[in-house]
Amino acid sequence: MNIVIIGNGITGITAARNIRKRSNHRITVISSESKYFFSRTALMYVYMGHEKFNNIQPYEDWFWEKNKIDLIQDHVTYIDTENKRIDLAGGIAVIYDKLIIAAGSKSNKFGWKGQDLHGVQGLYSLQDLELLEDNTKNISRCVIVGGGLIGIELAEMLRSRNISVSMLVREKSYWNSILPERESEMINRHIMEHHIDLRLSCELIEIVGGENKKVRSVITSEGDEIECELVGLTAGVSPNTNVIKNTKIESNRGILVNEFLETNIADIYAAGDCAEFKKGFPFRKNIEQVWYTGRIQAEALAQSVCGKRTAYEPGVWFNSAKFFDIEYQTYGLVNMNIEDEKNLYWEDSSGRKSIRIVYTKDGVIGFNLMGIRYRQEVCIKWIEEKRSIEFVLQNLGEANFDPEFFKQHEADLLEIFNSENTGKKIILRKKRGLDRFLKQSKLSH
Amino acid sequence: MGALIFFFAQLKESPVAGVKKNNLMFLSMTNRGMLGWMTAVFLTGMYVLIYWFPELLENVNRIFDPLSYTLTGNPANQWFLYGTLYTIAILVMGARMIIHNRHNKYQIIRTISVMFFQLVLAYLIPMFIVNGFFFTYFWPLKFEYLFPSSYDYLIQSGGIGMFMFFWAAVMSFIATPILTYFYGKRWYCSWVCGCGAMAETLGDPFRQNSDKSLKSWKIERWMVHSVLLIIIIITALLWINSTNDNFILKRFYK
Ligand SMILES: Cc1cc2nc3c(=O)[nH]c(=O)nc-3n(C[C@H](O)[C@H](O)[C@H](O)COP(=O)(O)OP(=O)(O)OC[C@H]3O[C@@H](n4cnc5c(N)ncnc54)[C@H](O)[C@@H]3O)c2cc1C
Repeated sequence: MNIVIIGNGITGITAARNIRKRSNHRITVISSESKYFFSRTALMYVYMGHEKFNNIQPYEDWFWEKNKIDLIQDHVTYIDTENKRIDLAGGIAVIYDKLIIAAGSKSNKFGWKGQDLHGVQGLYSLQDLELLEDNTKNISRCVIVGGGLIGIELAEMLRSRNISVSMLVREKSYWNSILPERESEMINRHIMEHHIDLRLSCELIEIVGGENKKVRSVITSEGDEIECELVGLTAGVSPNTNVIKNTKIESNRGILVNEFLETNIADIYAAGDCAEFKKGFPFRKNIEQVWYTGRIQAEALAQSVCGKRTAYEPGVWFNSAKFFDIEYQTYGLVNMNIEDEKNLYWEDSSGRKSIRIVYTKDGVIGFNLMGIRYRQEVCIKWIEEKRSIEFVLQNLGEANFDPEFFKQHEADLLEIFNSENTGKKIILRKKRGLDRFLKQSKLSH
Repeated sequence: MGALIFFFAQLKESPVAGVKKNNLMFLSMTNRGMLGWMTAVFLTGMYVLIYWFPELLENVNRIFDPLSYTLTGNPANQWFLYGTLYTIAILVMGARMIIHNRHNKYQIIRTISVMFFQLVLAYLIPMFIVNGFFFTYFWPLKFEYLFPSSYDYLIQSGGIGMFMFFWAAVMSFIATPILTYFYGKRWYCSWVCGCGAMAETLGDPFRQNSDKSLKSWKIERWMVHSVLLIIIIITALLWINSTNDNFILKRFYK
């Protein structure tokens, strides 16, 4: 069987690898961005000089030939669903038996005046990164529009080259649709600590051009005009559906799929950033635009393509990121205003670390960590097993995953719990340490 | 000193401590540029001189005479020069490592550990107490420590020699396997060993240049395992030989 995959991001590549593990089908991956798979989340480190581009390619170049995965670097212009054929910009056509569309996202542009001037750009692809190299030669001022993960990364990138940054955030606090209030405020402070001119509740009205159609300044909703030589548009991403234009494949914001990642046309699937679930999963968005969900979807999809029809099971939500120097991990349901939820929150006096546990009377439902690492498998297990808050607190040491000798803050959290719940006296049963270590090494040997 | 002042200046460079590797790949020194290559040639050249042309280093040795007389009572030779430079490199770059990782208690303690082991156990003590015996190097890294000849030599030199031999044997066969089982090889390589100390201090700004290909990993595995095998065979043969009246080596003596 001929399996063709459009897109060589984490979704397309995970699908290809897993299909290869399960079968001898012919696999062709077509992508226009780069010949070889690279880690999009690490693009920033290339710009900041931590890594070179070839360091963020997880597989060596020989890997693809050895595993008989054919790579074509070209742009898909049309999918002929009748004849099961796709056309490439380079002129050739490729026949498929099954087609996987994993075309990713594109940066949002909301039709702002001046959004197509020189020096205005998003940050998503390798080409965006190359453009950024060009656009930031000998400049000293930039305005970033949008307060999300990509915006803060772009800010860090530019600060590494001593470019001064103003950041316009529409919300009244950074990323507060996802982060609870206290954590969001922590990041506000941290952004300013990095000498960024953070403007909250502030929107972009217009980008003003100067000579040679180059950006000169932006005008904000507060009526200010900020001079700048670069505007970073990072107001979110949306599914890249260009490839299904003029086809009968159904789409809404993304390419519509059911829980088996099947589109409305037989033998055509979509997954990852570009897919939208017709019927969403409880507490989940219909479009999931993160690395891990792309990977999990692709793993399920590989089974289906190889003959074992398998539904995508999202499992307990998790994600991680980094805001400058503060690492962030989240598990389960946080900041979702679940009925009767309670939040136990501790914040370090430095204001750069915190632990939040969300629970209801039925058990713990979420964890949110800033500046502290917890073990994913332990947090997920406790949420799945609906462990009570008392159980989780007593055993909290088991979850701690900071390096040895780091200060452990679990006891502080317990103290808060005990003082907030009169009559309760929970004692930390397990600290991390030799005790757990012995148990673990027994398990793993 | 210049280097130290430079590193301390970095304390002020950013408001928040955190691993900062910005621009590493753009610098000639840390990205195999001209400076990097010149340093590599210089360092390799030093080894060539020390091992094969020590007489060319005589003038340099003289600079270290005062220190050498203080520590050992003898004039400096190329080995004293080597040990001293090696230790200085670890101490200076160790200070840099600590400053760079000052947000990270694990790295601070670990770096102090390698600096301590290098300065005290691999430099000072062998230098003026136990004449060349390193408490921190064990068989099979220091394979000759468990050769019959060292056994004879150490046993003859009385209580302290006896202790040293047992120390070497216990560390090699009991402590190392147990510690490695629990902590992995890091307990030695990045807490104790002088080679690791060099890699984790002077080597730190260059670690991104290591070859991470599958091929180099395969070569490495073949190399370490064959070296280990050779050491085991040689050690075993030497012991069989010595307990059986030279019956293996006898025929080579003629
Ligand atoms: C700067 C940045 C930082 C991020 N950080 C995080 C993070 O910390 N954590 C996290 O979970 N997620 C993060 N994300 C999101 C994450 O990278 C994406 O969710 C993920 O990469 C999506 O993978 P994908 O395989 O679905 O799509 P993509 O990686 O976008 O791959 C799709 C590929 O298909 C190609 N393609 C599209 N159309 C065509 C066509 N017609 N013809 C040929 N090729 C085509 C595209 O060029 C692209 O190469 C980040 C994203 C960015 C941009």
